[in-house]
Amino acid sequence: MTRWRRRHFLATLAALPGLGFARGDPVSRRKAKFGEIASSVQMTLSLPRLIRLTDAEALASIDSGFDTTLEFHVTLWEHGSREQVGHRVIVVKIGWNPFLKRYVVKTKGSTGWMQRTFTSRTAAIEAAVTLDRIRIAASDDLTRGTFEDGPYYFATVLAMRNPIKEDDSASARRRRRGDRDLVWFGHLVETLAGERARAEEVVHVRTNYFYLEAR
Amino acid sequence: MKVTSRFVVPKMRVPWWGRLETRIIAALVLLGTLCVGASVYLVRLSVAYFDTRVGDALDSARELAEGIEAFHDGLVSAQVAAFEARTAALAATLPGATEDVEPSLRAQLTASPDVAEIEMLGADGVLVRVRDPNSAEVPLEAGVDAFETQIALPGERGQLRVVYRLDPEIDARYQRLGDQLREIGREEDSRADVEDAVTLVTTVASVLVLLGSMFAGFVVARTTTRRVSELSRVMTRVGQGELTARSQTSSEDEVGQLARAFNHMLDELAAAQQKVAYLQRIGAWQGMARRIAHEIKNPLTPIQLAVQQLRDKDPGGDPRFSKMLATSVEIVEDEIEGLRRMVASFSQFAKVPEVRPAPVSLSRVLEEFERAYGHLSDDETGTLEVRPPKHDVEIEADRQLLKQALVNLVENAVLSAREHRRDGIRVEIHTSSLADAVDIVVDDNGPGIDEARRERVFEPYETTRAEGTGLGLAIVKKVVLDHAGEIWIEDSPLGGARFVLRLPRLKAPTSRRITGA
Ligand SMILES: Nc1ncnc2c1ncn2[C@@H]1O[C@H](COP(=O)(O)OP(=O)(O)OP(=O)(O)O)[C@@H](O)[C@H]1O
Ligand SMILES: [Mg+2]
Repeated sequence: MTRWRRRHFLATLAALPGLGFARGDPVSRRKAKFGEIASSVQMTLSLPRLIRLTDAEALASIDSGFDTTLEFHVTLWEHGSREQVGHRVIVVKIGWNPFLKRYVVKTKGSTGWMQRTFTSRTAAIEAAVTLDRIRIAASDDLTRGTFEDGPYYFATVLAMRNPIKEDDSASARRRRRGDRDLVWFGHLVETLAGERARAEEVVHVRTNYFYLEAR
Repeated sequence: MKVTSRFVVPKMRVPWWGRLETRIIAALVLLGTLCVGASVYLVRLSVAYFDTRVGDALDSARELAEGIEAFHDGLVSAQVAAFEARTAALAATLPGATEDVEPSLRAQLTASPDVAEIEMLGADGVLVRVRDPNSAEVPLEAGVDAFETQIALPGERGQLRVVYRLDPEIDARYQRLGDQLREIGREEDSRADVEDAVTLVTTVASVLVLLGSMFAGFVVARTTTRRVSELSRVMTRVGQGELTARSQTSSEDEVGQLARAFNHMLDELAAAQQKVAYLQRIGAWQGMARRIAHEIKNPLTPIQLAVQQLRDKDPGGDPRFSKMLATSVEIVEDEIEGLRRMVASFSQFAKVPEVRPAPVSLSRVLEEFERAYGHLSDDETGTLEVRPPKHDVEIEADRQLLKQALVNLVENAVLSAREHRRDGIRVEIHTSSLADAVDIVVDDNGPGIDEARRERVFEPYETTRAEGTGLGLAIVKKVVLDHAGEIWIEDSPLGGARFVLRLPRLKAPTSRRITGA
């Protein structure tokens, strides 16, 4: 692991100018369900990879009483164009509540936190990693089309478990100290140390295409 | 002048590993690698040192957080137990009559500020609910800012539900602790990587510095060695007989000094070679002059006697013939006289004796010369001025020959000046002392000598005068060279030629004593 990393550092070093931006998470395909309800387009997508039921550490973290935060960045795209049609961030918290002696899944919507409780951890996790009929756009923002001709749309979802708040990071602390050389050195070291993960787990998917049926 | 001497020069190709440049660079690389290695090792040590300290700190932070976790659990259980006990107590004190329940609940609500809501569902299906008006607007979030207890009333009287208000700050603080704990975990996970990266950054930086200084060293070494090899190339060329080759280095450092010393040595060498060649040439001329003089001198006397006899025995029968004879005899005698003079100067040249040097003071030589030859130009048309040195110097010289040389020079000066002007001829002799030599300077106000002829006039038989032989200056130069001196011609401030004779000074013990005193 360390050996591989080191070689990786050297490769990164060779590509110094593009550092920091070159790296992206691999995007995989995942099937989502889309539907039009009233005047909004809704999506249902499940990302069980975000909290695997075999990940002992993640499970222990949920049991500890500290909230596990899931952040979903949902972006809607039109096929063939590079412009995004809509963007939304959904925050979900899952954790054990010692008062209720239950698992709590809280979702931050437009109105505030929405809370569900579960006695089963598995059920709670399933609820947390599933975006259930979330609104991704207003119907008016999309152009209606046909199965043959489109226009087709798809969404990309960047989901992170316990994303790092930039404010808490060591580099932010160094920046606050105001030593420019130290910031520069820290930046270099962190880039070489393999850019610190943005989150405990990152899942980046793009969905299947859909089109909006004419009414 | 062709130089025929040839030194045996070893082949100058140095293999690359033997070159100064390579060695300097190798030394630089070795030193640099050593430095970089040492600094990387030290960095690794210090990183490891701080790593253990940070590791300890992280461990205790983690322990602390885990302790707080357990503490929080305990706190929550205790609080829950307390809430449940309070609800049970409330249930016990509830009045039996349903219509009395509401005021009692309301009293409870005002008495305990952390109760948000009390609700009683009687067995008869009557619901009594009292609520704290302050918290009515915002729905409370169960588990975060509210806790709900529910028990069955004793005697099957129904259900009692009490909602207690929790301080949301407790949960918020606890969640912040969780964030910090996660940060600690991440810090621990990335420690090894960060450690590696720090070492790598330091290594790369050190290697860059090393490369930079190696490049600088390379440039410095390159310039130095290039000048050294330029010098060695010049030396090779000189060794192969190209005596005019000189190093072009102009720097002031040791290499430049070496190059200048080398150039100086070559100059001296060339001068010495020219002297030797000149003396060889004069020697050859002298040999020839001696033979010519000998061959011509011997028949001259018989010829003269025969011609005189011819004139004496003239019967005088025919006056025309007598006159012709007399004229012829006169011509022959004239020519014989001329030949005699030539033979005399030839044999004088041929017989220029070996220099027999002896320590002598310069002023004595000049005095003797003035006494014996001062009349040379002391007629009404000109003056000869001899200025003896202010501080007398000793030289190792042959007095007679040195005086002869001065005579030749003064004679030339007078004759040349006389060709140039009617009267006002001036010839001046003065001296000037140097550290290890003394100059005798002869100035005149004659026509001077062109730059181009200044070497040539010293060659034997080089003359512009009708009755000159061109040997005068050749003799002078031979004498000077035999004294280990030098002679050259300059422009004279008097307007004519200046001859400078530079003779080495004698390092006499007397003079040394004088300077020492
Ligand atoms: N003081 C001088 N001023 C100008 N020209 C000179 C002077 N001394 C010598 N020369 C030139 O140098 C030539 C050579 O002089 P050098 O004394 O060797 O021969 P010379 O005087 O011609 O003959 P010699 O001395 O045998 O009678 C002279 O013919 C003259 O042209
Ligand atoms: Mg002469």
